[in-house]
Amino acid sequence: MSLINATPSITVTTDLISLELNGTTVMLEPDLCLSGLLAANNIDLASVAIVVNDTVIPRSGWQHIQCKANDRINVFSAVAGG
Amino acid sequence: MLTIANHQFSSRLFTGTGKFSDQQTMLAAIAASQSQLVTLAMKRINLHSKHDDLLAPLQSMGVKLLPNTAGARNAKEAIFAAHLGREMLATNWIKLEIHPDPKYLMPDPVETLLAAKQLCDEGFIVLPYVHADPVLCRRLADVGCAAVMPLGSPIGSNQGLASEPFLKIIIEQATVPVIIDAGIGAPSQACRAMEMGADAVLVNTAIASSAEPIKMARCFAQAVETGRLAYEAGLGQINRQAYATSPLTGFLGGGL
Repeated sequence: MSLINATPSITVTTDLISLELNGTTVMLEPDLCLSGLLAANNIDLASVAIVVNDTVIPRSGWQHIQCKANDRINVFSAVAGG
Repeated sequence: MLTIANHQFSSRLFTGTGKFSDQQTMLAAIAASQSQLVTLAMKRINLHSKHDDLLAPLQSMGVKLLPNTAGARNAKEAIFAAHLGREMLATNWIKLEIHPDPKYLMPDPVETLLAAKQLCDEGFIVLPYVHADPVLCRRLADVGCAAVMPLGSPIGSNQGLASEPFLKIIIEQATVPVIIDAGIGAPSQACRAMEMGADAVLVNTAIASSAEPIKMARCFAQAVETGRLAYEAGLGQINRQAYATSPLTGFLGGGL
């Protein structure tokens, strides 16, 4: 006798937003802050700078500023140089 | 002791981090150089490739990190890069470099002065990379730059102090530290720059492109220290004719 799960699965549908991250289109849940965006993409927050729509965002705002649809977000890091 | 914007450096050799064959060699060379200020560039992350963490090992060495604005073609882009560096590295120090010409990488003096003024007004500690132009260096000091970084010769060229006569004027007139940057290709050239009275030199390619970068870094450290000591001791005067160092009378010719 097989067990049948009587509880139907519930799928929560959220409208994802689309934005551009370092030139790549990504889909993500709304209300994600910049820190969350980076964490979701395995980017270490300690050594980067974030630019949203050509404006450098102060580090103090990364947890408060939410990603919006069609944002152009660029993340920079340090590289070797003279 | 060299002081720039209230920050003291016991070494007068600054180093870049570019062009090394691998990160381990770069870190070992910086350690051997005893440099306390190293430059870094900035780049947009490639999300699809893994990159080594450059910052953590440098920070653990205790060196001061100086982001540069390399890649900026005008004042606007350089100011943007300075803001990037401030958020990335939590520093208001910036090596300002604007060189739109890809062949010779000559710094643009007009855009550099414009950017320097705005960045100084915003509270940045600005170290501008410039041609060996005494007038420009004075103007940059006037707008508040913490130091000036005139070139010896084109970046990465190893041509040495091609601009020597003008570097001497810059040093003579300086009201802020003078760091000779770019083109120094041999320890003897770094020594010469320090003998002339430069406050520091910045070396990258000559160390990184050496067959033995760690050994070469040590050579530069010694050369810079020797040159500085010679400057402090005071070089002898250069004369057109000979002046004997030994008595020339009363020996072979009689008079005993």
